[in-house]
Amino acid sequence: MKMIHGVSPHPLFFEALFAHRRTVNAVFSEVQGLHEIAHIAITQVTAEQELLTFSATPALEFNLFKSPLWRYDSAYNPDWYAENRAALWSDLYHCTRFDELQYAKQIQYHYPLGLAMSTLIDHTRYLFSFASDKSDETTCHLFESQHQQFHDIAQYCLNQLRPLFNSLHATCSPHVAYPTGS
Amino acid sequence: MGTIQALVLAYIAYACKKWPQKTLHQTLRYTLRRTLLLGYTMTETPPINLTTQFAFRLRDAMLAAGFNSQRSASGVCIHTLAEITGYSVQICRRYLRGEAIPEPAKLLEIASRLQVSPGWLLFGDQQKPLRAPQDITLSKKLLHYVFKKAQSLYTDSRHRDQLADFLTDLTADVSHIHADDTELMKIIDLAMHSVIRFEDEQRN
Repeated sequence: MKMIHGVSPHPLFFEALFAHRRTVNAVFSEVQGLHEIAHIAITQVTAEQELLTFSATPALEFNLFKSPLWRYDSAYNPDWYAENRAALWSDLYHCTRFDELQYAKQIQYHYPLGLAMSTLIDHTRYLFSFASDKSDETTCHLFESQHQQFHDIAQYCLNQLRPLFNSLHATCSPHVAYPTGS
Repeated sequence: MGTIQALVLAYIAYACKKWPQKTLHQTLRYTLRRTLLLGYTMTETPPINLTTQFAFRLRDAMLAAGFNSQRSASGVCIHTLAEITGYSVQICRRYLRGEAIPEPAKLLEIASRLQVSPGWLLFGDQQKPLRAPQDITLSKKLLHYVFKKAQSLYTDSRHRDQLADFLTDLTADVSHIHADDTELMKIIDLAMHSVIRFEDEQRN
């Protein structure tokens, strides 16, 4: 696994995490609990290879992308997400930053289990992210084998969030300038 | 002297202090590799060798909890650790030798049994202690800001019953975010505004 280049957070990445918090909360709260999902996030990869995320736990993505740590998480690596695939979070951490990523994404939020998925919908690449606060055998089995159902859950949320993604594309300049962890 | 040069020199001084066994040449090469080839920012801290530090703290926590053993080379009872984790003695020995770190679920179990925070076990004093997921820690200043901003929402909202949940989630977010108060207040403003926008959308 290599450090990630060629992709960056959208200029509105940090603002978007909170600017639609109430709507995003309402959408994600409908599916939280299904399949033991405690956290869900949807990231759109724009044509300019910029990332835009809506998250049920926006602090996670905010801290991750404020530091350079996200560049060592292959879930955001074009080499990984170029094809439709799924993997446990822990399988995607770069070995040199494994412990820090595990702390930043999992231990800090008590998410022992995480799943990343990449999918192409209407010619746009999306990254779906799920985490559970449980790690029993049944939950592990769900996260490792029921990928289609997780995909359907995220797509249901995406259908409701799509107007928000579109509205962000329509906005050219950010209202609040946040420096990114580059 | 330019800012970049000053930062490079400061980083070299830091690296020399941090790794005194390295030669100046090694330190320079390391600094260059980290700042140029890997694209690191000058102020970024190097990766932490957690496994070794974890082993020391695990041993200390086990001793403090009374799980000591004079027969063991590590000074702590590996069988007790095996009992806590449900793993073999061989795996537990790797933890105590600084060769591996347990996965998150096991780490939480070990920390709970040893009555220390998982964050401390992993990072020592470098990180804030880990809170239970239901706990929120926020400065009085920020909490006051949240209350102040929430006032108008309670007056105007048609979904007052859901506001408490939203505000609880928001304060939890803010308590987790690594940013200064000014930036956190911007985040609170954005999130509060999202409630007004949501209410408008619901009305239309």
